[in-house]
Amino acid sequence: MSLIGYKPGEKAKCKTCSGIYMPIQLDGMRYFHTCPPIPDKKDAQGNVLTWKNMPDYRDENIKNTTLIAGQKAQIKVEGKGTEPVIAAL
Amino acid sequence: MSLEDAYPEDTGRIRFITGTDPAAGAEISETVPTNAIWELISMRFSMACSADVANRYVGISFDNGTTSYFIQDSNYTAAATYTPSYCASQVQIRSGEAVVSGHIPIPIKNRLKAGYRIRTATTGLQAADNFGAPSFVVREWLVRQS
Repeated sequence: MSLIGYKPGEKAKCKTCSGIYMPIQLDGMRYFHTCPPIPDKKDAQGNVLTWKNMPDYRDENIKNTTLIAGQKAQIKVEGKGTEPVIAAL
Repeated sequence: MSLEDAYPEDTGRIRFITGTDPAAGAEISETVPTNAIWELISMRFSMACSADVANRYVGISFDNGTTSYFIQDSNYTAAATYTPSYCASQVQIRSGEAVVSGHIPIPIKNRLKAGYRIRTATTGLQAADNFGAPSFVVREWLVRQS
């Protein structure tokens, strides 16, 4: 789901890490989610694995530090995407 | 513009940010956005400890995306079923015994560049322990890339 459709304060759930966040903060500013490290998973050398090692890692930071005229900013890694969090009634 | 160029002439902008509420068993992790520089002024979060019997030692870590260069533990040891709250800030005037709350000092005038991360680093974290969404106050500079 596109993050553009979220209103300030509405929450999204990252389908990769299950983290819940506000893509548009209450003050209207954009929030850039990145998946946290995976706990208790290490490779053969004992290094802590992170989502960056994984194919579904999500990083919403923009890909290019300089915008190219006529092109929309793209996020770095889509991962599994997001879904809206429906508030309990 | 370099980090040095952005400071001290530009005083930046104070922002209040609600971060990602991680899934159970995962640490809090926030990444400084592209084209931004942050100074972390304060941070508050809670951790709901599961019934698994263990002591949890929660700390704050700064890293450059891969390598930690600052880690500071809190003064509170969290036990099973407790839900302590933690506050990290540049000014810490209280230490010693704490009642279900922890204090974590962080460097004064810290500067975190784009891609740097603010993370919790918890010894003894259990799979069902659950951090709440962290709240941050940061001073932010936006940096134009040349």
